Amino acid sequence: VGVSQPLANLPMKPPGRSIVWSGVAMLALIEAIVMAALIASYFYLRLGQPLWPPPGTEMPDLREPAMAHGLLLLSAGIMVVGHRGLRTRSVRRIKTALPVGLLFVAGYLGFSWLELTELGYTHQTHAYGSIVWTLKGYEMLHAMGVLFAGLAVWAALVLKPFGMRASAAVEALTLYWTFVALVGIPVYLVLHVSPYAL
Amino acid sequence: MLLPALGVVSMIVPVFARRPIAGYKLIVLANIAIAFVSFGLWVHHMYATGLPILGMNFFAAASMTITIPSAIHIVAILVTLWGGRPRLETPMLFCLGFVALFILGGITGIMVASTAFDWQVHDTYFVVAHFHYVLVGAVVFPILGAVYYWFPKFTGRMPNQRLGKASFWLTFVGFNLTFFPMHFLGLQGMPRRIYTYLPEMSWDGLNVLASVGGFVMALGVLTLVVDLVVAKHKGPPASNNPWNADSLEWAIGSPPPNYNFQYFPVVRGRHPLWDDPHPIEGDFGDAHAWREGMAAPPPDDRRETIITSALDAVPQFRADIAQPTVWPLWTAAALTLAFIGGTLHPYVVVSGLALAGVGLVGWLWPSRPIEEDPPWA
Repeated sequence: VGVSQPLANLPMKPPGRSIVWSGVAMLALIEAIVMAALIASYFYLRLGQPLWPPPGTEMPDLREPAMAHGLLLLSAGIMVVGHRGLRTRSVRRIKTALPVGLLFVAGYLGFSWLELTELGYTHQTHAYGSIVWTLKGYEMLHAMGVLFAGLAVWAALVLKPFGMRASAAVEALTLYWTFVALVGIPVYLVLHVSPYAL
Repeated sequence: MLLPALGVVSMIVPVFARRPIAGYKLIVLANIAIAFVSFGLWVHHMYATGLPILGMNFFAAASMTITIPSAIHIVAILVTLWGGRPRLETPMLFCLGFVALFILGGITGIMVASTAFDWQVHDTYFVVAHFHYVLVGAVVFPILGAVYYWFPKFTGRMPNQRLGKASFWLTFVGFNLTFFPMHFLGLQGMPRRIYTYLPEMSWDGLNVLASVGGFVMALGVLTLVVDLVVAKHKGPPASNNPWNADSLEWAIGSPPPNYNFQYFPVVRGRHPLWDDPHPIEGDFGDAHAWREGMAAPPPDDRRETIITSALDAVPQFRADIAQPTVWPLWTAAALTLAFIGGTLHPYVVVSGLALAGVGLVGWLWPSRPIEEDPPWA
């Protein structure tokens, strides 16, 4: 046992990435596990059904959801490019990319909502409807989270001076945003492609 | 529920066995395994509700698997006792009670993990006996031991050892008198959740025994409460480390000063106080030493906490944490509204979540300038 230096001499800035980033990474891991569990539930429900989707239900649409997910991926791409501004200390680049990306997220949400309302069945119609609405709704909930957090970070960027904590917030937001957009790919494949392919 | 109790036992037993715990790494792995397998346990309460065979097989397997890490933990404790020189003081007695009761609860646990057996004893007193051995034996006994063990640290007073031992024996004997006969009552078919039964069932004798045991156990708990209340006011003062324990909280005063450590002790082993009983002598209770040892006076205008490296606990930097603020309370209230709202209307859930979102933004809003966080441009 020894005695170290007085604690007040320690620096404030963590070495490497901020702990917010690690926290968001853990959150993304947990959310990925939940998503995997929902996808497993989808196939579990399918095991018990002779016809999937059930009779009287149309096969899922391929094109429009692909466009919606494209918007989501594009939005994350914009944010990833924008957050590179942290390296060059270009705050303006971040401040521009963030609202543009958020517009694309809003577009994805609008498209997805229209798609849900035009399905012709709800989460109460049958097991298939229940799992489709749950998966889709869970994904949209994540996008809403990105929209909400993005707006909050944007407001802070506009109203407050940009420093260490703001840069940590941008990094964490970008990580979560990328995660949400990438998770959209397996969800799209399961909901829209798997009924044709499997 | 079980894991904190296992942690308590793993801390107390080595102190009173006067040796390091045996199989440290195995215990850590066993506890992680228990935490994981626990997720697949709860369905063994529901075998009689009509489950698919696949589900029952899975959960029966999980319920039996958990006996392996639990047994590893128990064996490690027994080996620690075997190789040590045990002192039978009150906290240790409660931990030994834990070992005995947890083994008994574990054995009936293997029995009810089997679906076929479980169907026979479902909703009988056998199950009541089983889960009281697990919950009281494996959770309540260690917690009572922990209260005795850390009482000197958080009050600065020693409880009466004689009353403490009496409390243990009354609780232990009373517990077994109450719950051991329930195994037989359950096997004889006495159902749970009844307040009376027909005289010809011949369950009277064991039930009277259980009632007597219940009063004995209550007397034991009462003894404990009396001991602690009296000790809180009139107990002899406790030294920094009355049990000759190995862990760091015993290096500072009893009760601890509000700043805990003035200097950060760097730990280089699992048993810092056994390696060096007076690591930081003279550092405490002297505010001037604190001031003079610093390059700059400690900031008292904000709250900070220390972040260390994950494995070696080397102090790395200070993290700025929240000032007293209304936002956590706001967020908690909004989340409560959201969850209770689920029983009323979906819109209440949505409003609650929206209010919680507002709370989070308010909580994290960068309101205070920090000199170490200068603006970029």
